[in-house]
Amino acid sequence: MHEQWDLSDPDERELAAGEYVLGTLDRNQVAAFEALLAVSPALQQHVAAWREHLQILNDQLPPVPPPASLWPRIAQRLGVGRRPWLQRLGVWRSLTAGLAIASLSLALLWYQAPGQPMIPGDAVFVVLDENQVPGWIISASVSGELMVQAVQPGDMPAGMGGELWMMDDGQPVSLGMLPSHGEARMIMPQRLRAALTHADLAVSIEPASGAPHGQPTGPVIDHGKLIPMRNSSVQL
Amino acid sequence: MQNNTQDHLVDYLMACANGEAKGVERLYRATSARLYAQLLRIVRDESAAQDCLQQVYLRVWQTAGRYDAGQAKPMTWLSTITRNIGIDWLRKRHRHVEDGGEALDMLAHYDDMDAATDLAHSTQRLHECLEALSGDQRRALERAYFEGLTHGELASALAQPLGTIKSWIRRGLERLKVCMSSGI
Repeated sequence: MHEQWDLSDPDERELAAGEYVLGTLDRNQVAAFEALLAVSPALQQHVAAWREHLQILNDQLPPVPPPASLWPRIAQRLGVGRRPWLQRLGVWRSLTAGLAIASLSLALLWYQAPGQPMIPGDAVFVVLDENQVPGWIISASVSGELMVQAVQPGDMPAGMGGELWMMDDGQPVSLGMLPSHGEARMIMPQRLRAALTHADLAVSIEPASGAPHGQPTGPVIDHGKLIPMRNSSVQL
Repeated sequence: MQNNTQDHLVDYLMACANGEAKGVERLYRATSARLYAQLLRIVRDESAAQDCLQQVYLRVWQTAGRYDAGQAKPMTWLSTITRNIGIDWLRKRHRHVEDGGEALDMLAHYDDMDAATDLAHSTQRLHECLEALSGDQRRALERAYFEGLTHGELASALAQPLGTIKSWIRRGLERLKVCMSSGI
């Protein structure tokens, strides 16, 4: 079937290694190739080199973040979920748990900084990681100002950070990168202010310089909405 | 992917090999979007791609100790596992269809996927090396790579004589090797 296939020829062997990695050899050719591969370090090196060359076909694909619900399933299957009871509670109840932790965080801030102003703003969104640890507290004022306090952002790959998104008519709009520590202020674009209190927000992991082409590409850490704070100066 | 990021991946894989939960969590954060994109391209079904992605990280978690940084870059190693799992799924699905199961509409989204692929030239080198291929060569390489097709199956799928397919594949491989090895 493969008339010119001659594995005693070095050039032919190298190309055969490429076809082997690509997966186009038929069953008999694979068997013959693998018999030689088992005893030839040079051929093993060719196979390793072809895997790197052909990786270009994967590298060209635009990354697609899997749904946020997938990691808890995988963590549970691997037995690495630190608080599996939280994952079994379901989305609604873990949200409640998240809010309890958020309240605790707010209480701690009160305790640690007496005399400092309470978290300003009229509504709050606490960004929780998959273990329900708060990464950031984002508070918004009706004037369109967002104040972000880093609590315990999860470890990021080098050069990556959390980016805040707001869904505007089904399209994610970046509100900016979240600080890795300390505080930051962000100003909402005027046209989005009216939607802020009921829009879906999300935080994804992106290059520190911001997601390419203004579209989220990395895994989503958390998503949710701003929750109005009781007794806020303005009723939202 | 940049080298410094790949160095981190080696650290995460070592942490996985030591059974550290943080290692696999970080690895997932750093790599899941790329491996998921790869699975979507192979299996063309979101639910199946998610099941496969779960298998990928399970296998990585169990076999990270066998990763050898001298043999492969971490992303290449992860992609190889991912591709094997995706193509295994395709083959099982194919057998299911042959046994009288529902037909898999393999070509329905092909044009869309091709268009999305064309948009994503993330590096200059990648762009140059893919441009070095003719359209026929690139199509043959991609379909073989992502759909697990042999020369013979590719000839049927692309409705071309076997000799033409073999020549597209070989010339495509040769050009890719020259470009990837020298950067020309």
